[in-house]
Amino acid sequence: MLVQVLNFGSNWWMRLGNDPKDPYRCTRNAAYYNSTGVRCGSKIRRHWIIPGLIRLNGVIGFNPANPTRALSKTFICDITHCFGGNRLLFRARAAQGSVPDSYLVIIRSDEHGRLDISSSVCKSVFSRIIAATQLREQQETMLLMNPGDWCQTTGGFWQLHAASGNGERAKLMRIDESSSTTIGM
Amino acid sequence: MIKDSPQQELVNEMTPLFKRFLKGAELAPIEDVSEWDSLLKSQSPEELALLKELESFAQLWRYFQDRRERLGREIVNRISRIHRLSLQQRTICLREINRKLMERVCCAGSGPQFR
Repeated sequence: MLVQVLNFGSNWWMRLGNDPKDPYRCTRNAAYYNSTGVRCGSKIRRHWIIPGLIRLNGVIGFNPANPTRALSKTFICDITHCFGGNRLLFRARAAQGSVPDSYLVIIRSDEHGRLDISSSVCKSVFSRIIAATQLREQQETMLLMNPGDWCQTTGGFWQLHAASGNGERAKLMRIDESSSTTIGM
Repeated sequence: MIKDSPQQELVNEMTPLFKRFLKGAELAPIEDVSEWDSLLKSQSPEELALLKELESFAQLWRYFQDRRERLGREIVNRISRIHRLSLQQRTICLREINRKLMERVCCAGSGPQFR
């Protein structure tokens, strides 16, 4: 499955390579994890209501010092359900110009509004929740969406529009008076 | 060793790509209505009705977006507030919005896209 990253969740952590003598233990043999989270004081906490994560292996050239460089890039991914949660493994970078099958989207309560995750009508049938975090009024949800998929939050009705041919990138769009406002992507 | 011609190389590269679109492969089209229906089977009748209206609305919005046409202030305001309504009220409201939008689609005329 080819997945293009539109945004990452707030919660990052890493795991070093197993061999303590390995010079690449902290770089290409490390694994980086990302998921949803909420800020509690100075820390980011998981508070998962749907557990899940994405794993980026260092060998794919991911730079943890600058994760934004991976935005709008397409990766070859596998999705599984293991250790009690969803797991999206980023195996390799896809060739340039590859057309993604799905997009990794983050919905945040402060930017997009709250998603009623308990309701089956809060999102289109084919969009999948990878992880969701909720603590009081704060909420963050990580979704895998296809072009045309939608979700309804307290902030409005959102739809994922695929990249058009004229260099415009894929984006999550909210209905507003001009029907063309883009927020948070 | 004889090298493949450029055409043969292209065929060799394209064949596995096209296999991904075959039935059962990762990019195969969904089983028309049956897969869609199977996904919807777990929903209650009220949720099912609302989901269908929401899907129709999403498709209509996309259509208007592609044509760079605005939905109009009234529809935008109603959609922005719709999450506050009950399931049944939401379905009724969306059905009405979709009907209005469909009337505008019908008024689109026989432009070149219909030829």
